[in-house]
Amino acid sequence: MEIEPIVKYKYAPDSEEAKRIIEEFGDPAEAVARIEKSERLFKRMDAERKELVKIYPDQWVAMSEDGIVAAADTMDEMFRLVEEKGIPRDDVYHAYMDTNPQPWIL
Amino acid sequence: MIRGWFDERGLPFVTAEVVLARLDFIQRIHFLVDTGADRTALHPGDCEEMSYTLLGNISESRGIGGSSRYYGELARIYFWDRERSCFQGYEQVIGIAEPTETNGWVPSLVGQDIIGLWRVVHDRPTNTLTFEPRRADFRVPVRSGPGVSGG
Repeated sequence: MEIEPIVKYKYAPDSEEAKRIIEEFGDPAEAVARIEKSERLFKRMDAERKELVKIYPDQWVAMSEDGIVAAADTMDEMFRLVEEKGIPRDDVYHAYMDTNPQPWIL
Repeated sequence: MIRGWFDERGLPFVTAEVVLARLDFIQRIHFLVDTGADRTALHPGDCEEMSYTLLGNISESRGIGGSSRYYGELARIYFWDRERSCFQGYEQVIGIAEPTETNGWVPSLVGQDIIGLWRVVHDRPTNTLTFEPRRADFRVPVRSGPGVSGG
């Protein structure tokens, strides 16, 4: 049986608290664009991971929509290289190219 | 409806914007959807800009993989609900993992504190992963301009 799709909110939509939260959040359309770009990069990194591990074994890599833009042994060094190239952090997705990945038992 | 996806290994993920106002931290996080986790948690690979020295309220969490120490921090978490053209927002104390030698590239987790408020469709054979919120703390409309509309 289909359940009626109603969302109940803790903060009433017209409450002062809800309005304050919206103001704090900034431009929602920009946030949508950031999320969609970030998802694209995540999926591309995931799809290319096997090849990237061969090229950048045990390194942190940063990927923009142009491809890999930085790689280094540590995350701090990788982000330093990203900043050095004048690329905003928001424009890259980063991951560790682990040559010996362990299963996640969380 | 919030949409997630399966990675190459078939693990379920969903993206959100996470804001830790006290720490001036805002970041897109790709959460592993972990129905076995009590609470939502960030791991160090997503926290490179985190001011760990400002964190307190540390506690220990146990899992099948062992114990980990987490700092509790109030967060606002925004999930993009494409069908309703809004962000579904949650205000939660989440865990922020203390960095260790082994957890740097473990994904952040969205746990039952949020998943428990959703109707989840996890259909790997048809590549469908959707989350229908039943409860949220607030919503942020994307196209309807200032103010908030009812749900």
